Amino acid sequence: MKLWTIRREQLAALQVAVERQLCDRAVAYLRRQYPQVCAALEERSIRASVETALQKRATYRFDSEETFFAYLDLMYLLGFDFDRDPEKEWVRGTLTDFDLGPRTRLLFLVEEARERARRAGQGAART
Amino acid sequence: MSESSSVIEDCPLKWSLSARVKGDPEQCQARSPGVGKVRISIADREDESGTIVVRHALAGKNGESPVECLLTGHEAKSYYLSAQAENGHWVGREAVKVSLAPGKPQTVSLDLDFRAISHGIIDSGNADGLLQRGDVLIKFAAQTSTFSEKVIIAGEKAVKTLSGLFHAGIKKGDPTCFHVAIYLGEGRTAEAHGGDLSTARVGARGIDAHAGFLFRIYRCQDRALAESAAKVAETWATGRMKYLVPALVPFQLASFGPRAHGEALVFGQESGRPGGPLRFNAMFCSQFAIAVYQAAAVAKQLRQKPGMISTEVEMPAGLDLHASNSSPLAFHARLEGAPASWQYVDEVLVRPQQDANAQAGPPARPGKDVTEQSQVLGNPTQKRWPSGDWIYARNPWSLKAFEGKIYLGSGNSNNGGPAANAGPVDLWALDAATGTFPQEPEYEVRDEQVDVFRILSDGLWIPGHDSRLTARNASLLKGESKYELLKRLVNFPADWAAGNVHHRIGSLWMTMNNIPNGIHVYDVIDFGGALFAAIATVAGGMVARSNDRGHSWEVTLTKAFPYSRTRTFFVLDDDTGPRLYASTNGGRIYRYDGKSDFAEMNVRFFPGISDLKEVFAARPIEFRKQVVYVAGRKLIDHDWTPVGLFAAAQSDSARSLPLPGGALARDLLVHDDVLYALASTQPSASSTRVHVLASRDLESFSEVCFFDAGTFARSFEMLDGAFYFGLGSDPDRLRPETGRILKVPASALS
Repeated sequence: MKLWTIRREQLAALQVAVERQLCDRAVAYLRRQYPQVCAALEERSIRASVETALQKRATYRFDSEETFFAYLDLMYLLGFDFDRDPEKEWVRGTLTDFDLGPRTRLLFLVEEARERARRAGQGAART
Repeated sequence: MSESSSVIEDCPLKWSLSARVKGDPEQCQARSPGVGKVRISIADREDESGTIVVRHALAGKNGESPVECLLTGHEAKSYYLSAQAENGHWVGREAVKVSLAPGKPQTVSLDLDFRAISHGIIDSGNADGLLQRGDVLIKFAAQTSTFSEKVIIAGEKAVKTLSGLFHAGIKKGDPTCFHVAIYLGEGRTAEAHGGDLSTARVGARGIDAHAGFLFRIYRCQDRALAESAAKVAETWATGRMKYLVPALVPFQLASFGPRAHGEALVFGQESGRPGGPLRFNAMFCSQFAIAVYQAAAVAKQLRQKPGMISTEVEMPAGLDLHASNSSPLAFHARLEGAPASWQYVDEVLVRPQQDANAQAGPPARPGKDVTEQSQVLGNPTQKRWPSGDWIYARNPWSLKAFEGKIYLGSGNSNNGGPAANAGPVDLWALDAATGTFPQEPEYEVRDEQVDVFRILSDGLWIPGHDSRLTARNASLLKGESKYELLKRLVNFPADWAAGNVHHRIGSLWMTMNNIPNGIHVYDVIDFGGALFAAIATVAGGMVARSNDRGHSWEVTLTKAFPYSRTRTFFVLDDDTGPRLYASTNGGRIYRYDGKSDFAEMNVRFFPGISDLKEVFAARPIEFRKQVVYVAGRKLIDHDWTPVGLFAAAQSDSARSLPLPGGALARDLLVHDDVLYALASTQPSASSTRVHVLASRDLESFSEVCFFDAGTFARSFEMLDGAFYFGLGSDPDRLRPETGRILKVPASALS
């Protein structure tokens, strides 16, 4: 005997609502974390970047909010197409090393991207 | 977010197991790799014999990985977590037990320790392939460090701890370095050496004298300066200068001040004086190495300006030190800090890979190269000992063909690491017809190690190398807790009370645990209708004799004193008929009087080997009324390294059998009136060549085949025309191939 049946349509509607809330939180996170970059972008561009990250979840096998935000960090640190940028080849090895858990891959890359950005900033300051 | 995850994540009964790995970057030697990617094994049994789930972590620059969820579940369960970096340099301290209960997330931290790994093996035969004249060799600690070496290391460790206070830059050095030498070419070094204080001098030595030690190699980028320094080293290293113990040197200021300038000027002025500078009657190692380089540098400056005064002396980077005040640590730190002038080349292990009588060996004529034809049949012991130091227990100590199967020895009975007391041992037997190993081992041998097999009149026997009656206990796998140590100590009487022999009767194995005090049973043999066992007890080396096929024993002493061991048996004929001999450590040979006693023979059984303290006749095999054997020298505890091949028709007529090209024999077998020797050479630091050599007359050997591998083959066997090989490794250079079984089919040899 089934006590409770959740229809596929109901789950889909629930997922849309959850993702909408997630997108709102993501936009707020980006504005807080990268104010200078976001100031130069229109609201719809920021939302488009969040939509892009949502679409990458299946490709790169991450699904928690923390790893989703980490992927956004990478987009804003390395460029929105960093995963296809031939100059960011160093990212691909770790991003697609599925031996590693998503948290490890994403947080490691964010740490590395921040370190590279810091070094680049220092280099720029010296020159 | 997926449909399912949102439902499951909210389940209040779910547990989650998360982990992070952590290695302390401070432990890491300069230029050694960081932690990197780490393999985490999650086993449901303590000895990792059950199901193992593998996950991975990745450590950042600080040595820590992010916390990652490894497993989730709902039922209460316990797991044992262990970790090892894929680069092999970082190993988990111990397996961590985690008990998981519904609704409770758990996070564990897996701490990793750094370990140095040599990248290759050098000896006097191949050193020129890696080293160049003038290279500076920095030597690191080993288990066999001498007293003066320990004095140096102790001082350097103290300095390293205090380095922030008064020795700027010293942090780049490694306090376990304790000796420095200059490479002269052709396997020779110039150095101030003090291993034996009675003969300590500044002189030239063969690099093989450093057997068992790790060297880091630094190369001067100014090749003209390196060549000049090598010439100065040759000129000075005549033995005139004595060795100076540098006990307080680590605490002295090594900076290149006015006194150092003056000293360097003297070195330059005296660069061509045989025996070294007149005012120096003694030097220590780093002082000598720095001095010869300073002498070469200043001599060049003096040629351009003969009247130069000390304040005008200029010193290249890496050499700007006060030689008389500079410890190996200070010199190492300076070389590390001058990468533009000093190239770090590699870290290598020194170990002679040639027969002690190699110079008398005939030139090598290569046999058939079967590198491409060799087939990997598997590594059955990898399941039990997958990684870390436990790799050592995978060593296939022996291979033996019996009734269509190839039996495989493994385990380790050394009390110290690596892989201390690894038993009981799973006995694996390859089905030679199919070339496959079964799903399960044939028997559990209740000993720490299966070292040899013997086929006697009534079947296959295994001498019990180190009794392990107490249950399998793999908490030892990653270090031993105090509780486990105590438990093991309590169990000693049970394990030591009687030694084992294991006998295959029909298709069944039987263990007889009744050799009195036979802690170690190294060999068994049939002789005169009785069964004899070579044993070691707390009282020393002994022989046990049984007249009822191992059901009861009488013991006789051979070599008394603790740590004496009767290791092997062999039979030789004399005028009275066959006589039984026993070989013990110390290079001694004993003969059975046919009644009850073994008497020591005053014979020279290992001609050409001067230090017999830890030598015995390993792998003895009878061939054409002679015994052929490998001189085995203790490497750690019971395990040995070969130093030469010998044959004897009588105990007093032993002669060396150097193999072609100086190849070093490790195993022997006789098949169809041909003696086969398994041997290896080290053509370069990073490549080992495995040879099979054959002789019908013990006068000459021809090479049957060879193949190249990342490590040596420890044992071999022949069945139906095919050769089977077991790849091994030594404790100071563990190799991932250890335990791999190869086959070279008969078709590849024709």
